[in-house]
Amino acid sequence: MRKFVQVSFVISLVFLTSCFDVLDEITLNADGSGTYGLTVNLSKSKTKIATMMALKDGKTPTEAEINEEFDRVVDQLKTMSGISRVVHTSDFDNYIFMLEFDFEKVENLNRAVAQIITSREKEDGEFSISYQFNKASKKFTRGYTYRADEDKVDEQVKAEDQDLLKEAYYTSICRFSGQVTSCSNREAKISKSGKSVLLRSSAYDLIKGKSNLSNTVLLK
Amino acid sequence: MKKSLSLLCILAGASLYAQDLRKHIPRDVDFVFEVNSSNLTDKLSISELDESVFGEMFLSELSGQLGREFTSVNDLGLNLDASQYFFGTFMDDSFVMVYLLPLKSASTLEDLLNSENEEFIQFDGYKSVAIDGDGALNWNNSMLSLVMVEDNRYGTQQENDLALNGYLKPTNASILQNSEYANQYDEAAIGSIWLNNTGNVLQQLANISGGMAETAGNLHAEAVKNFYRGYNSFTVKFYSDESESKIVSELTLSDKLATMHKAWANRKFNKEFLNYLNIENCLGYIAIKMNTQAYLETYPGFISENISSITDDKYTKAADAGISMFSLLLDEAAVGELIGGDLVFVLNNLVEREVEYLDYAYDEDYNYTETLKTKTEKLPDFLLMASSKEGDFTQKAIAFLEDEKMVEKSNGIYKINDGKELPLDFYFLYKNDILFLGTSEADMMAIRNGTFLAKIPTEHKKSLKSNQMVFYSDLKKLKTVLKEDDLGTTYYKTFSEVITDTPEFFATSTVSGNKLTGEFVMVTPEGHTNGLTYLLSVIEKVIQMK
Repeated sequence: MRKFVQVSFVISLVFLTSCFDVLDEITLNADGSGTYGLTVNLSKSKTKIATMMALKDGKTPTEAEINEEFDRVVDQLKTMSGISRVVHTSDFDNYIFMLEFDFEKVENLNRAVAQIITSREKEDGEFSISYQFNKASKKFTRGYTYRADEDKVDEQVKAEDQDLLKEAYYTSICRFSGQVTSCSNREAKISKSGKSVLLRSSAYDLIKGKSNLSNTVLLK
Repeated sequence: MKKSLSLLCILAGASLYAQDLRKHIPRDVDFVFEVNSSNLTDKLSISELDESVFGEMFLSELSGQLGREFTSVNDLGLNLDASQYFFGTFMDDSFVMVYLLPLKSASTLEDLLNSENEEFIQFDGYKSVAIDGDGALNWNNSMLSLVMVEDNRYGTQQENDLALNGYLKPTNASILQNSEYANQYDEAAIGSIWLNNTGNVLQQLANISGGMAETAGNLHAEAVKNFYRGYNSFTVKFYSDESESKIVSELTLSDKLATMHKAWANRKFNKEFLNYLNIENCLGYIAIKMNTQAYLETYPGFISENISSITDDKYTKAADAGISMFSLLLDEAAVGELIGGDLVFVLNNLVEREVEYLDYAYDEDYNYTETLKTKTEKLPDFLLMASSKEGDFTQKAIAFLEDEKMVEKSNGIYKINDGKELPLDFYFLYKNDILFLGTSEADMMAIRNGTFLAKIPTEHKKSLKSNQMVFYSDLKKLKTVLKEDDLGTTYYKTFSEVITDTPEFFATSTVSGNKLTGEFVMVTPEGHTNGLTYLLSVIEKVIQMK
């Protein structure tokens, strides 16, 4: 029976498209401590993911493998100094995965983020995010480096996958206790209250190097 | 010499009058490719060929290389009414390939070669010019041959003889005397490929790719030959007319292999299936039939024999042990009853279904809340039917699944409940020793109640009864249900722009006599003169898209 079900799953795979959203959120207190949250939402593609997982093709991770990987990252974060209240949720009905922790200083956050990135990135050094906060000058900076190789993207990412990447979004929200006076990134938007900054880009633009997540925020 | 080669390339696309160059092909060659230019130009006029994307490409390339304007392949001095051939022979240490082309007159060719200041060697009745040490171009007033020799021992007498002869004189022992070749020859084909011995050709190709001088390469080639022993001559023919384009392949098997394949194929099509197939309502289907019992009984022996030829003794013993175990554990007859070996998968439709997903709504301060949204997805609506006796085993298995709450029964139909939300509902039921699995509850009810409306044209019925495998697809219907969102922009663009006329496809395969045959038919869509002009238009579109 399973084989029969698999046949139909394979057929259905052909006709499905998928996309995803990544949301990262930093709440920074005046003393430089704060909360970091990362959410990966695959809900829009849940039919496809459920299908791929049901197929057990050996390439798509199983629930157990995803949980194991998640637990491994969480365990590592828990041992890091300056990191506390590490929580995570895995919603396998909607395929939404969330990780959240508190940090004492931005330096602690940087080490934690580097840990998360290196646990996912096989080729290190291509992509990095780091934060700086100067309490005296009230300047918050997100450094973002990515060695984009446009040709490589066009060569290695199939055209149909490129279409999907255009539908996938990365959203970054930074919340501050004080008012924001300026942002260096032209794409960044300041909220009505003046205390939050939002940056949003398609995964395609990020991979192609067309958009940049670097931003320097000056606070009042 | 490049110019001469370009000239030859041009000729591959077209060809004129009835010289039978087969008389020049030796009887014992290993392969022969033919383009029947007369049939080709029947379907595709010279002007159509000139104006096609290939014609334009070649003419412009040739004009550029030779520094003179060519506007038609007709200007090249070729006889576009006779067939052209490419054949080859594998020898102990060399590989000879020959291209034979019929000429209208030699003057155009000589003119072209003279412009390159090539020096011709004159022989008795023909002329020749060497090509960079590995072959020769030879011609007389009615034909041209390009002889290429790849060898390890450069310049043996035998090869020189071959090259010098130039295949310009008919031989008494020609391919026409080869009964295998003569029997399969069909003058109606536009193009054809014939391999004298599939195993031998594959071995020689492995030999060439593995490096002829290396022992490992030779061992590998020997193994390939052994694995394919019993697979004798192989032919592929291409036909095209107003109504369809067709590719027919035929593999001749040794008696032993043929007996085995026939045993595998020895199963009648389950006519009951025809009661549940409605061609007007489906997008396509795949039907397969096989004698499971015969397959399970003979396959281990077949594999065992072939593994012994490709691996060393240690692995052979291990494989033998595994295969014996396989035979011991399986009750072939019982498995044969459970899995009859014939099935039909019908893709009825692609149905839109609303699926919910979680997104985020942001307020003016970028606080967000999860919001439930819906989107439409297209999912397959299918029916799969397979011959299977509902015996003790299946009843017990279903009872177990019911106990485990993996299936639930309602109105005599089982619904699969995998514990997770499946993207589709799956139902199954047994009726008249057929297992039905499908996504439509209504279809299942109709099958159970005997009210399923079947509609199947005679040619489909005939094809299903006589073939081991049948694949049918109605792209015209598929195009009406597929939207850009379903395939993604790139796939959709290719699908909708290239296959604008959306024909029907039919592919079948069967065993008859000692031959394993396959057929691929594409119906010529309305508005096209014939299959060939349609195929050419599709290829042009693909090229233009790139």
